[in-house]
Amino acid sequence: MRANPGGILKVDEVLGRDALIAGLWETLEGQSVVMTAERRIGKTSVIRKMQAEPPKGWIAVLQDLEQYHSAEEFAISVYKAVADYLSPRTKAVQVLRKLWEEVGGSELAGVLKLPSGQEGSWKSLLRKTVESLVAHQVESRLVFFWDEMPYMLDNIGKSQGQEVAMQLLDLLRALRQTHPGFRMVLTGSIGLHHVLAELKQQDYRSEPLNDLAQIEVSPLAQGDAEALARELLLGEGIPTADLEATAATLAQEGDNFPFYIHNIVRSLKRSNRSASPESVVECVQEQLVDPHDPWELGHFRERIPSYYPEQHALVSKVLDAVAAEGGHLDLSSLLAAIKAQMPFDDRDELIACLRLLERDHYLRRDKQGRYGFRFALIQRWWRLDRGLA
Amino acid sequence: MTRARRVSAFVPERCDPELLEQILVGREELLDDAVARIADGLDGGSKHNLLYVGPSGIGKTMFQSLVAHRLHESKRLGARLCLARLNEAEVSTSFLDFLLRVYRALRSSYAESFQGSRLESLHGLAEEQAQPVLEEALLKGLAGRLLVVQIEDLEGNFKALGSKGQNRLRAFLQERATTTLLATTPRLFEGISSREAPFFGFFQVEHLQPLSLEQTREFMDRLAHIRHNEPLLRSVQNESSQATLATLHHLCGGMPRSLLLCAATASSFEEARPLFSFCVNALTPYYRERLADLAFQKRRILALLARAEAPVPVKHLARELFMTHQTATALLKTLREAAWVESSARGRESLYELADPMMRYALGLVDEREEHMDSTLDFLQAWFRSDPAPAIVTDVWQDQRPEEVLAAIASSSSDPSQWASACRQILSRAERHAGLGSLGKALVTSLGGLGLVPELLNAWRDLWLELGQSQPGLWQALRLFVAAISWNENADEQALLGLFAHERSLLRAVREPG
Repeated sequence: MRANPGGILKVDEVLGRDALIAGLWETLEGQSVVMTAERRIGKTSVIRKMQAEPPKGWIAVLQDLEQYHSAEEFAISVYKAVADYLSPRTKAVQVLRKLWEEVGGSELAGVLKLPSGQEGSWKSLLRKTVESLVAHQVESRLVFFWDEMPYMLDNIGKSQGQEVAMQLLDLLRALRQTHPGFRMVLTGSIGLHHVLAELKQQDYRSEPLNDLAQIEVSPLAQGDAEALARELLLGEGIPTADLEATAATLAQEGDNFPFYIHNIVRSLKRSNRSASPESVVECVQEQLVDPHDPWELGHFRERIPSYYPEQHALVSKVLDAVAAEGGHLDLSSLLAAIKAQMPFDDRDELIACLRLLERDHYLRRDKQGRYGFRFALIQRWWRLDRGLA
Repeated sequence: MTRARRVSAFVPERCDPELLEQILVGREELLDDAVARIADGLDGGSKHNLLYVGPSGIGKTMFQSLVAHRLHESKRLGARLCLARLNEAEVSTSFLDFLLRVYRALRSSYAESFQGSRLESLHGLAEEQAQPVLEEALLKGLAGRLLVVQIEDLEGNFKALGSKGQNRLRAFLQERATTTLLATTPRLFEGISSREAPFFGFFQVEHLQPLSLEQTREFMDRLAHIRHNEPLLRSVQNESSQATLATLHHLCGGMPRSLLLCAATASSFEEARPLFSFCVNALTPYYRERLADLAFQKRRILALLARAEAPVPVKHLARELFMTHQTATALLKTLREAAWVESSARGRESLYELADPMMRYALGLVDEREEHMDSTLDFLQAWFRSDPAPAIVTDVWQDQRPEEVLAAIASSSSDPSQWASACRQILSRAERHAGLGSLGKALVTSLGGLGLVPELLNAWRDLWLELGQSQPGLWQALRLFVAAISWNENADEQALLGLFAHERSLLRAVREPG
């Protein structure tokens, strides 16, 4: 198995996700899911594996939604996926054809098109398609894996207006409520909460995702990360005197992130170094201070003004304070640390800010409610980048 | 297309790939690695997307050609993949357009699988209708083979595609999982390096490095081999050619294209001047063409920087060009992002210079260019020699070590006026016996051993500046000499900012502050 950071992995090379996947299928028995995770943690690999290896009784359809720029395109793609799924059943196919006619759809050279100028025809199509799906799924259930949902909402917002994006979210929620057998898994590189926050600035009052089970894709368990590291070191043919110890260090230094583990192995390979715990530590240190910023960690700093336009100064100070602390900081200590750096004394605002930082995977609370960095690697980088080391 | 039996510096894709294989230096492992990773994607395996980054002239196109050649030639791989090399002259403004380019590229190599009639069936269809039809035609033509799309100037291609096109391309790659991208770009850009971008973290990025001096020698050796030029081959290995090779390597920044041009008409490596002149002249139309694509104001800035004798502060640049400071700053920022210029910080201000020092010579904007070029080449050839030529040691230095001669003059009197006569005599001998380069080198390298207090060191500097006024051949040496004295005095590397980056690197290599 070769290191392939960012590439499309063969399904059997997606390691260490079996427990997560089993849990997801179990959850899907009862409700739909929104998967959250930091970018490049491997969400898409997880859903690709689920799509390729569904348990008995499920059929999975994976759609990358970023390609759709209108609600009509999205509705048609759902219709086509359902038509493919129901195609072995003649009666169901007839029903689908009929509903296509009902919404005034046309077909040219195999390409489907909704009537122009009829506002809301996409809603009818989506509603009726889901109704047909639920009515006809018997032996196995269909689940949609909708990757990059936030990108699509953003695209629709830009091309058709925020109003349409809001209507789409509301309709999907209504369909989930009306048809308990209808299942979807939503994922995205940008947190959906940011998209919703933007919509709420347009007087959007709904909570369109609060019926979904929120499942976070975490880094791998230590043992799985080590297994991945071992496979990659062997697959790349990198000489090592102590495979076990090197794999353990590799997993630890890469914070159990498959993406970083792949990257470290790739760097070792490219530099013609033999692998040892020392060379792994050295390699990671080089990556963290490399002026090319190969892991693009600078983004964790650069996105702050756009993610938190009103609070960016506060956010930076919070992260500085937590990063400088070796372990975790409780709220009072954190408030005191901020006050020492800037004129600020609003506990509630600080709490609100901390919640957002948790949702964006910067921070997390330990069992005592104290705040620490979510990922040790990011903390390490932040300290180096901000000169706090 | 008939492949040329000689190596072209500008269109290596039109050369016989066997020739490219023969001159491949320093990138053998990278090439093996690229081929192995692409092969990993065969038969439903993992798809590696590879991106090679490096400035113009570093060998990106040649690398693409070699990957394609190796994949084509491999019995194990060739039949299991289809290569689509997109023409660099074209860009696509939509994903459909991108697919069309891919299809056309495939058609030219695999006509039986990718028939033109399928393209004709798209005529008259709207974009959203044509795209899925074309996708299916592509997949059908591939028939389970891996599609390898070779893209040059990824940044330009992504810019033209726009966010919508990029979204669709990424979705295609994710959903179909049949394609590997092999791309090059002159620099990293927002479309792949921002976490918000669809292609963030998508590529395995490799930065192509310039050739080292050792690799440059090997490269020249290979070039001589493929030209079957025995005298040139001997010349590469001659001790007397080593300083010329080091000079060319330094001035060309180890860039294969420039080195290739230097060697294009060479019959020996004894003299740098004719080789470097040919290279500069060959690059002139290329730079002019690249400049022609830029906005007028940016061209004005680059012309000013090409004329400048040192890195230029923004304030000075704005004043000279009658621009506001904000306009100059904004334009310089975009020029820096596009790797036209680079900056160094001096206190709170930024000093700008051309990123590619060859451009200064190639644009021909400096009236004294020829004199400066002679002085630089003469100086560098002396600089890179471990010892002066025996004739110069005898005729100029009267069989003594140059540094000792200069130190003896400096220590002969504490009255600087007493130095002048001896210095004039050395200068006169150096002038008569083609030893100005050697004198220049000695002036710079002897500074640490002169043992002069700061006031006397300044007097030593002023004396040589006065002597050098009438001697253009010392132009390059005196620039370094003055900067090195200032660096010694202040123990601050910012003293070097009166020099260009390639000049600073010379001093850094031999001197430490204090």
